[in-house]
Amino acid sequence: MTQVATAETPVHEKQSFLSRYVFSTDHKVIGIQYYLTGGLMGVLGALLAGLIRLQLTWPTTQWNLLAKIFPTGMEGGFMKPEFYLALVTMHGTIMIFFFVSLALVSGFGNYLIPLQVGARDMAFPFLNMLSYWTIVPAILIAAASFFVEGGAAGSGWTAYPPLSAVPSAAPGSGLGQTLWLLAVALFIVSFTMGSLNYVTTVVNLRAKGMSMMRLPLTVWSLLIASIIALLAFPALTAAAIMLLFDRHLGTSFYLPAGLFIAGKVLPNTGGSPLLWQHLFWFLGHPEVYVLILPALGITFDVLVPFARRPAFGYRVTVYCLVAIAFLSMVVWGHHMFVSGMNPLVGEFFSIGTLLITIPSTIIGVNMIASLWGGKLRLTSAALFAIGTISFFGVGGMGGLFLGNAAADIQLHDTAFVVGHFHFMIGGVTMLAIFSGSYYWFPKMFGRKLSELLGKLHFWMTIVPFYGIFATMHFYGLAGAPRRYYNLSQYAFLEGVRWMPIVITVFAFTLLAGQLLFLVNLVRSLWAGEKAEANPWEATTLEWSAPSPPPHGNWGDEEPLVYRGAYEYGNPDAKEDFVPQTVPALKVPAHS
Amino acid sequence: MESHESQSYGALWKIWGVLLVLTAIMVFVDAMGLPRVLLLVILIAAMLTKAFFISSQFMDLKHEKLAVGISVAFSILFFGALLFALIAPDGVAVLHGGR
Amino acid sequence: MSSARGAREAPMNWSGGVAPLGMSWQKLMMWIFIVTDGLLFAGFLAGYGFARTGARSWPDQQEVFHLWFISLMTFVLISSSATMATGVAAARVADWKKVANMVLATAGGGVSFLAMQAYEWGSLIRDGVTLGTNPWNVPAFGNYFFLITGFHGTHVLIGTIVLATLALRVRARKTTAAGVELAGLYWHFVDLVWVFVFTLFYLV
Repeated sequence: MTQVATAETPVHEKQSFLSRYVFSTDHKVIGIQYYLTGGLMGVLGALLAGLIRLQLTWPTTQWNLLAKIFPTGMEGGFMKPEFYLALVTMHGTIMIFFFVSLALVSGFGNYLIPLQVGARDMAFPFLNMLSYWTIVPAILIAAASFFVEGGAAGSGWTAYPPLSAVPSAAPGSGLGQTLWLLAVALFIVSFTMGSLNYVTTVVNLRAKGMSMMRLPLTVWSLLIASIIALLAFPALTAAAIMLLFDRHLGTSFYLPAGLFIAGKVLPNTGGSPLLWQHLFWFLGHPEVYVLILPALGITFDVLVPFARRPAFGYRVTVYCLVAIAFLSMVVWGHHMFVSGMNPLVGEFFSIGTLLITIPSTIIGVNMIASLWGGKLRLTSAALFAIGTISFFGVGGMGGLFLGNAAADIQLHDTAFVVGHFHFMIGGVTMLAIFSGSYYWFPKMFGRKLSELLGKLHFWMTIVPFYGIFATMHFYGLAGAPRRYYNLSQYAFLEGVRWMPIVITVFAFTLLAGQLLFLVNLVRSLWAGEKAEANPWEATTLEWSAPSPPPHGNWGDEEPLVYRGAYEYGNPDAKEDFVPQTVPALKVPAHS
Repeated sequence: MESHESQSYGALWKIWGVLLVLTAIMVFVDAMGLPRVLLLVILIAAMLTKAFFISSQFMDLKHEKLAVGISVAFSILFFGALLFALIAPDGVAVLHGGR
Repeated sequence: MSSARGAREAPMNWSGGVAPLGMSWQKLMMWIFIVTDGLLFAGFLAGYGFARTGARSWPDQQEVFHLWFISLMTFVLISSSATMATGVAAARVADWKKVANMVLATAGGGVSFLAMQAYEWGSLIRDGVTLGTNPWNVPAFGNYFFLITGFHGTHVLIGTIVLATLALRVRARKTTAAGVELAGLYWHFVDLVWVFVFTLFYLV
């Protein structure tokens, strides 16, 4: 087995452009690669959302420009149903796997973990590089699926059979679905490689003195998220393999007898779509916690230095993160309450789901309490972090309704669900990506993002976001189903016709607001105010490295850690913060 | 790397013998036509015993920190069993009763 | 690091700068990978459990399989695990000649297992078992049989290739005891999966 240089002093010959910026094994470069790639995919996913909104709001309008861009899907200027389903499917798939996962977990995770634990790089840098370059073909394949015959997959990001299992079922069920499966399979391989690195690095490569309870909450949350990802993804791999078999090899893992599709009775017998649902959601539910836990960890890391006081309840937060992670692995059935699943099993899932409320609430309270009595510095990063608490709380309440099996009978597959999960994996995670961006941009690039643009960006994000997804909850309560391409034909929605219009107006405002961020990003890379090593006066280890850190992070001497991650407001110290690397006796006292 | 006494070759082949005996027992019991539940209990117990021997002796888990072995065993066995326990009832319902 | 007997008694050191679980990152990563791969098979077996509990009838293994032949396959795989463990032990005392022989013997066991599995597949296919149908009219049986044994066989194949490569490197004295141990862990995992598959698919 090749020994990979990790904690040894780095000695580097001059590197070519390719090996330095393209096939780099440096976790910082890989982290930025992931972040930018994820960001690009986020833009793509947002554009797909724009198209979805156009269809849902004005289904009878003839969009001639769009017909030119999408000649098959928008033939004659009107959206075909299969194109709508493809949009919905790919919007979900791209946002979950290729935006949030990449930017938040892979991007920030790769960048921050070695820095925050005091290591020179990840445990296995070569594997790290491979993980990024596995994602690139995944993305290309997913994007290509739009252009193949039949278009992209249309079975939702959840890919339920028989729609996904029978290639002749719908236009997107052919090559589009196969490519979807391939892209997701490559994603799983990539993410597994990354998670292996994360766990190993946090366990084995922490600097001397960096005990587990001195780790920043970002690292804890990424560690825990990686563990549940490693435990949960294999089930989806197994399920996807069985789906490929059903599609191409004539098996019947998910196909029951008597299916009549595309004009003929299928010969399959003996399977059930319920099996797919179980295996998919065994991953699907932990997956959303893989996305949200790092968001919560990052929120703590951003809130604390801008409140100038220690995180409230650090230890309890760690225990709650672990509790949420464990519970998240045993509640997958709450996505299946109306599937015909055994109702006793359903009740077990319901109880477990509602139990998750407890550690989640404790974490939310700890976040608020971490602001209590603090000297608030309301920078853009801080605003986004506070917004995260808001989304977590409000969106989380929807979970109380959905977790109740009886209530879910009414709410399942309505816009209520869409509103709920957008708050959680759209809102909480996206705001965390932004707060993390404003916070760590100086570390990554040696310059600060514009605060003015940042604050504008904040308000143009949080207000429209509420407008869209809070309204969507009520739209769902009124009975509006999800994944329907044309709701204008239903009389029972007559009283709430104004809701999709309001949602769409806010949606386009939200999209426009993100332009502020893009402009800020690009401008600041070249013309942003230069930043020193520790512009926010923070305590965690990454701030004791230069901005940006060199290859190997720490120069000649690896850091030694003497204290916890959040020592702010120490009354005996001269400054109002004490970095983790400062030994006990050297804390400068008041004279 | 960790240093510890090398496993003596003889000890390893003793385990080999134990595993073979267990396998033989399982095959014979299977052909005996026992009541279903008893058969399942015996087979699963023997299977887990074999797994224990392979993981602790061949894979050296008994020389690693206890936490490692417990984590590995718990992760696979608990989640494997959970998957089966919560999915199988639907097998009965869906495939037997039809929908 | 602590001695063999002492490893379990020595407290774990989580204070940083030290591997708390007493193993290198490479070994830790291999163990985590083994857990994920094990859960992949658990996913397949859960599906099998779903189909089997729900099936109105299931082919009788005593009739369908040549259980003595499968037992022979099990014997081969278990023996290959024993040779592998011997190889790992030999590597720890740098008896590289023995290591090479043991690794080759293990690879040989892998090849034999695969050949026997191929023969088993061939005989079942001749009996009319395909991915779609079989003489006992329980398509799920064929589905899960080929899926699970196929994936297990693939893992055996990969392991055999890895071992063959390892044997060459051992011959050239280019390996470490740690490297041999890592390959060994993978191979024992493959044997472990077979323990479960053999019991749950062939015997139960």
